[in-house]
Amino acid sequence: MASPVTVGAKVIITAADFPKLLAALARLGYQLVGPTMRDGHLIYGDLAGAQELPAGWTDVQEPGSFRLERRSDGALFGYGVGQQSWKQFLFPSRHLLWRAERQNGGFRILPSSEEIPRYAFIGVRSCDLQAILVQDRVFLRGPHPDPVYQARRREAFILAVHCGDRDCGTGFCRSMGAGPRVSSGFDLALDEIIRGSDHYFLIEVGSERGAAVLRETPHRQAAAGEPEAAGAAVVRMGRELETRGLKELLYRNYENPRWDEVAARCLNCGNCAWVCPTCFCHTVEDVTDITGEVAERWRRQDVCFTVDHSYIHGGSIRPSPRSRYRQWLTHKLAAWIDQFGSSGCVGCGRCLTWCPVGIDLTAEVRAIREAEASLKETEHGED
Amino acid sequence: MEKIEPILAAHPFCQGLDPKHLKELAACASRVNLKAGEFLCRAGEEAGRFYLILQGRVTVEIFSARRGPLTVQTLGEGDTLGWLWFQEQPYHWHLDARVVSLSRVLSLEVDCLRRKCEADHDLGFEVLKRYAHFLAVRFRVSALQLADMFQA
Amino acid sequence: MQPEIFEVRRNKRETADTYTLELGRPGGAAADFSFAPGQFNMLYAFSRGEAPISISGDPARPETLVHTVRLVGNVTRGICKARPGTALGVRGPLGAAWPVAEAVGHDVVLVAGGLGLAPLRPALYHLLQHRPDYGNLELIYGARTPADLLYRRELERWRGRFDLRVHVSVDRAGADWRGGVGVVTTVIPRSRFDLEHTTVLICGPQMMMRYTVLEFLHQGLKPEQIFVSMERQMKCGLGRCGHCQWGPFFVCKDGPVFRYDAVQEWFERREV
Repeated sequence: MASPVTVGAKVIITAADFPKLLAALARLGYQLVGPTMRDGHLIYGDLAGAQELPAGWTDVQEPGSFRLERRSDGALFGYGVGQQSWKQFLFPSRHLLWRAERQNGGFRILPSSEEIPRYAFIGVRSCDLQAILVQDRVFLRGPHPDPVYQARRREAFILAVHCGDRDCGTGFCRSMGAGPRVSSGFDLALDEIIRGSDHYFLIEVGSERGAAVLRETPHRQAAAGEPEAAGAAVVRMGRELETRGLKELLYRNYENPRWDEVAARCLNCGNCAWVCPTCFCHTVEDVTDITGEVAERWRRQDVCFTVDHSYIHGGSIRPSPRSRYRQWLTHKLAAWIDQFGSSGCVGCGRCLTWCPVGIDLTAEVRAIREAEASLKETEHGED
Repeated sequence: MEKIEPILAAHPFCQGLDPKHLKELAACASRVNLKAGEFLCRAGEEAGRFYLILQGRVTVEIFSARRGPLTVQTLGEGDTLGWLWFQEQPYHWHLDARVVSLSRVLSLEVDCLRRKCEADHDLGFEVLKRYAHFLAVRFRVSALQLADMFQA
Repeated sequence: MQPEIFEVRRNKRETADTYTLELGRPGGAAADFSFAPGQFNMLYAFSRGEAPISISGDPARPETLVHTVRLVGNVTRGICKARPGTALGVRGPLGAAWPVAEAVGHDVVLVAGGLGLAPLRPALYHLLQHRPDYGNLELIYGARTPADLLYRRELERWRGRFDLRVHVSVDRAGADWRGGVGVVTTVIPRSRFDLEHTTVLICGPQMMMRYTVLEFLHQGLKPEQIFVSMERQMKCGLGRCGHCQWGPFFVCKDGPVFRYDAVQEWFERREV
């Protein structure tokens, strides 16, 4: 049963034994979080065990639409990504930074002490794993790495899932080099295979931590040909984003009339930023208790779609909805590259799915390219 | 008595003017010294003179009954004040220009300038070219002043 | 990054809405706060919140931490109204500084608009303390009215120096103002600087900086000789909360001081 498991090894676990893998994680002190159904919604929440995974469910996503449907099989990971991402665990949307208490005419600051959760992320898709790596570059680089993110990230165990043999309604991770298969950054990565009555998982070991968990679980070595067969599964994506020269294209086109066109549709609701797994904007709230003796400073997730976001005395820097949509998109696809060395977009498709009016950023970028090209044609045509 | 032509030539308004044109302008010009408190012009008076400031300090003011004189501009060495109004009916000042400290100016008679420019269009073009530039700068600066860049 | 506790030693009202605070550590201890000219702190008023405020004191005198603050909202009200003995939180120093070392051997022109003189004052102190290292020094200072001028007494002292030329101009004034009247850009043609070896430091309202830069370029200077100090909403001051973004730049971390050639394309854009 048990065999030497090392980094890079590929093993098979039957569906029947899969719950033991999660149980092993729990025994090692991890708090399991992952996809589960709650009140009819697919969320990322606490998992008591594999029995709480949304077995037999799948999703149908289009711009502006998300629907859950029953599958004909009992796949544990037969769906894509829902509204939530793993950022809520590493970068909690509300977090107490510190407390201040009045004393002796002045005040003192009491750092907030919290127990660092040890999460095991169950079922991380490639797009979302890329998103974590993107956020690593935001929160961990430089002279002031974010202590909250850093502590949680160090502890987090990543059980990734390769996407295979499905229609990804709104995703375009292939264009962003972010999938559909995970390549690195995981502790364990699995393919779920259902063939007739056979239901099993091909698991690749990505780290010593992952190997340790696997050693506690009944498994067998993968036979020749099995990894290749799993890797052959195809994800069908309905859209792509041309990333060549994208930063320069957007930087050149700040006054492209296409922005007016999308601004006429965009509600500035900020859904796209709320659900995006890489968006990191946050604000701080200073509150006090009723006596005024104790003050707290909270960090809160924020989006750039509010007029307040860029407000300084005298007014907002981005007063028009057009400028705020433009800010979000150009930051995500262009400025991010200058700031952090890679694109901010992983092609997960959430911003398309959860936009109430179904704005598709791949279509918007294409429209800007075409508008610029046709403008150049017109100019040359007049020579 | 110092000749006026070199003094004219040294003033920024006349930069690059041909000596023969300078001679024409000099014929319309006289040197004036003013003490603090004297006025180069008063609102309502005929604007018959065009001034090139050589030295000193002059404030351009609008008088307000409630607030007193409001300074909207200060002029010093190298500045220009006036209207080259070449129409039939004379123009009138709408501002006061008060001398704040001892000032020496070149005062040019607008009517004299007009006659000479009508007679010699080359001279007219050179003068009005410089005047247009002066007005453009004044306009830009006034627009900026109006926009109140220190608002909030 | 948590605030450190400082104490107000002195609070001087400069104008109707601007105050200069001198801070030290609690218990009468010296501030012991080193910074580079142009940097800022996040100042915290108990329970109200933080505001990014430029340091306006002398970098060679770290025993006192000086800030000039304009009262514009709830947080700055808490700071401006802090009487001596009041505790304030300080996080910093943050941000990129004025290039006083790189300007050695150059003429230096400082152009300040309104409250913009506050972040420039530390640079001026530095330049005056190392006077032999620099060429011609000019301070051009514009404000809306004489009542809005900061550091009046100090301005008079600076005007009295033989190694510094000071030009002050207001947009409008009453009869009792003996200084210049006219937008600050009109002073620039009167200033003296070497076209090749000059550094210009500009700080003030966005509009004022824009036209000031244009005037210097018109006079023949190059974009890499001009530095501006930008302002944006800041919540963290560390380049992470996202609020201070200006194109690809985080104003709190890549700025607030920027060399103009690096940001020229963004400076001219609207609503970015």
